[in-house]
Amino acid sequence: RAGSALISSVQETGARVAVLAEHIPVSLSYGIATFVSLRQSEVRILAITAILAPEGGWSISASGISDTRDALAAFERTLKGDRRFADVDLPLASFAKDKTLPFTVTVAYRDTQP
Amino acid sequence: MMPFRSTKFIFALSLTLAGTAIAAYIVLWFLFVGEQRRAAVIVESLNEAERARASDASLQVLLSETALLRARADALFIGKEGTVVFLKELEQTGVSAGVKTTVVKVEKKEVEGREGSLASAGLETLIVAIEAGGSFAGVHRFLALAERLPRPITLSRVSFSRSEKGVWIGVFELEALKIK
Repeated sequence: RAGSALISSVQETGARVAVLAEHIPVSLSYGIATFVSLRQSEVRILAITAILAPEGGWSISASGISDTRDALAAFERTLKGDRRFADVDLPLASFAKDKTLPFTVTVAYRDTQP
Repeated sequence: MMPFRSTKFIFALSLTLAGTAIAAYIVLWFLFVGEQRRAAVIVESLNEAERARASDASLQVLLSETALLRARADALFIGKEGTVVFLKELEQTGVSAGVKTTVVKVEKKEVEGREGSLASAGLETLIVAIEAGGSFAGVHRFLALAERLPRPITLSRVSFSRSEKGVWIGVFELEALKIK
């Protein structure tokens, strides 16, 4: 009985170490900081939501207001040009107004380490 | 005639004695083989017991030698009675980040998928949702500090939103591993 208790203790420790080894920290704060830094000053972000994707990485969705179309288009281009972000989705309807454009942009953030 | 009868008698007697001797030999041989097998089983059991004892002893040594390291590894998880301590850690993180925190949810995750493998590790998942209010930089700093807590924490959903008063509210849903 003592032997089986010992073995179970060792197995439990092994399983805990495996859990720790499997844990991959994801730096979402870095992703959000990068995301926010890519916008021009005319683009104001009012809300950000990040959801952990089942396959890893994050889906980041941000909404806000852009003072001009050019600033919003530049923000979209910068996001598309940054390899840390993928699947940039900014609906065309966001460009309907010529000033004070409300928008929602969604990106996949793939970088896991800063 | 007597000598002939006597010879036949002696012959029959010899055959009987020889037959008895052979039968006795066979019986004894089977008994011997049976005993030999029993002895082999006993010796093997003794060897097995000795091996188990040696294995137990080496496990004891291993456990004793790694006790400190195992305690340090266990300290990465929320302790059995450590939920309150963990929540205070999160609140302290908020203080360090300069934001006001409010714990909005604490619950045990229902068993599914990965929970089976966690159970074998004597662990369970605690779901915590915490709200942090302050400047954008403060809320972002809270996120950065929470990610760097020395625990295997998984953030599952994070949201930042700016209120009409200009205060940023961050809601962080995280999963942390707790010792059962």
